Amino acid sequence: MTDLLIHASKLTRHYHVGKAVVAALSEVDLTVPPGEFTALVGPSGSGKSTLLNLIGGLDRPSSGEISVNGLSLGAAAETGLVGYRRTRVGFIFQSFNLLPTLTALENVEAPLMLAEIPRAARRERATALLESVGLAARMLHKPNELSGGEKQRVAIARALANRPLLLLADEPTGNLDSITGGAVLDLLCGLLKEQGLTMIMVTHDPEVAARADRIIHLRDGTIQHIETPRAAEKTP
Amino acid sequence: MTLQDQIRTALANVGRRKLRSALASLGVVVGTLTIVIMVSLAAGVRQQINHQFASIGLDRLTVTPPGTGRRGGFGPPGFDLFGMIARKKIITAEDVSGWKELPGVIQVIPEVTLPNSVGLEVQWNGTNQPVRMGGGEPMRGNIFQELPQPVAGSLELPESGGVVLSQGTVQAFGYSSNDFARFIGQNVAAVLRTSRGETQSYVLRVQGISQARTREIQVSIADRIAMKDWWFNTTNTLDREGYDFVTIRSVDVTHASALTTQLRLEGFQVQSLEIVVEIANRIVTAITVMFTLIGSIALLVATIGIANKMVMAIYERTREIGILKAMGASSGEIRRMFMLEAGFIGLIGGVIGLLLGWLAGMCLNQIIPVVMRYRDLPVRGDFFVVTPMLALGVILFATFIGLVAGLLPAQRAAKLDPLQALRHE
Repeated sequence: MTDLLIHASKLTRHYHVGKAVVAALSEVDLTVPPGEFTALVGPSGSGKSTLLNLIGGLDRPSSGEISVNGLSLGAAAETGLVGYRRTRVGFIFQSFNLLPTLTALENVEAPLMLAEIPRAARRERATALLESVGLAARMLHKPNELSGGEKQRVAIARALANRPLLLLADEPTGNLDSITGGAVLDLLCGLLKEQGLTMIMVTHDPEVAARADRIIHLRDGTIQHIETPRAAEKTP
Repeated sequence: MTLQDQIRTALANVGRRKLRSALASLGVVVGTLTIVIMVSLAAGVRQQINHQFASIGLDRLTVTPPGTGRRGGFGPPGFDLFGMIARKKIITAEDVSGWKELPGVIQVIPEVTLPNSVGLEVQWNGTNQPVRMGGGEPMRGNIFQELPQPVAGSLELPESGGVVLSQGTVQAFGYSSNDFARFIGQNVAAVLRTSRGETQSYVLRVQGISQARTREIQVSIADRIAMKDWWFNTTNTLDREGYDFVTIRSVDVTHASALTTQLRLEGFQVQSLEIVVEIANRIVTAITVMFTLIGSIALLVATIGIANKMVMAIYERTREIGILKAMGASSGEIRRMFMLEAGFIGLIGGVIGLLLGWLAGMCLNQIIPVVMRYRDLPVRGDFFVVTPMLALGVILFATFIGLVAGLLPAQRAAKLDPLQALRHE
């Protein structure tokens, strides 16, 4: 179990809508080894975003257990979760979620600032990250001066700033055309391999999901089945 | 997130919506301006009072001749031939001897002062030292005040021709306290000097040396009258101008106030200082408190403006708050960021208000004396005094107001659920 990055058992999350109780996720068991690229697929309301948010420490389970890298997210204190989000996880959103008043460089610097990295060091790191996602020329532009693909590259650089163990991506190509989306996905997969990162990605797109090591199909808050496309390739 | 980064971020956020920040801090500017102007005015008035009365004791009356009577001859109306404020009625030697007989009077000291423009020097052994003319006769019998003691000789002056030097004067000639005794019985010259360079010497015999550390001499009233006669080139200064003021000590405050009423009925100007000082200070304190309250109300109203601005800002930036939280910003960091932003709005408003108030006070300080001179009011000094305490206090208060205004909005921002904040459009 120690060589598993994520370990969830009977993970459940209920929401109260008025008087009704909606089970967004019920009794999900899941393990993810380090370095794996997992895709979460399923129709709207299947619980894939809920699962992602629970793994990211943005939400807490109603019952059940989830631990990432040995930290039990359900039981952790607020400060523990803050530190976890700051240093262990990088989020990539469908709508980019860049800070609109900051330049690309400052956006990448923001998580480094939260981690109290000295100014010179964070400038250096942010510059290197933007260069690695191919945005050396766009560093001083604000988000509204960047294209969708460029924005998502900035967001990727930002997610990587504090050298996380885990990338959580919620439909990262959902707002991009297929060519740009493909390029962003290529970039992400390249970075994953290069840095040995673990990634969990929510997606609707079967083509995107096909590039994952493992595809988890969710429906009505439970895991329907799990595919391993590469394994299928390997056994012709 | 380091405090330095929080301050930098907060300042950047203040600058994001410049007009809105400016409007929010406008209330603070107005409040601070009000406080600064009003409290500095009160401080100025208090300083005026203290300047005017500091040197004089408590249970005395000061009788002065009523001013601004019109005289014929040269000079502007209200002034006499010599540019002095003309006297409607003078204090004669008969008045003074009459007052000595009034019930409750312990002591009556008539005084003649030399005009401010007179240059006065003491000449000894061929060198001259500038000095001031002190009063001639010490107050007697006040249980609260020790009688001034001589450091050498005696402080009693003969009818004329004697002088008491202060310690400071003797030291100005380069003599130490061991040499004081040598001066007793020696002749020194008191030299009057006009601005044209005309001089007149009076040879005086040193009677004693007083404790005063300032450079001053005391001569009898007869000698001072003689000096004034020379100065105004007349032989009857006392008959024409009377005494410049008379200090009357009475047995107690009740007698003092009765005497005040009586002498006022006789047409003299009387100031009974104990009462005046006390009442004036009480009034000034009351005014200060009232003015501060008015200004504080303005500042409290300003909190509404700041709080409104912060609530708007937080609504606008809800999504950003969500992003920051997802990146690992703690609730405390979010709260501090918004508190600091509100505090800065208060601080900036406070500094601007202070500067404006100070500038306004400075301008009025220039204008008021001109008006006063035009109206023949012999008042000098500043009316608006911004003390360091006031400046510091008002800036701290303005910052505090900002922080208080930011408290609830910042708490709201800190409490936002990151998921809901991220979904916010």
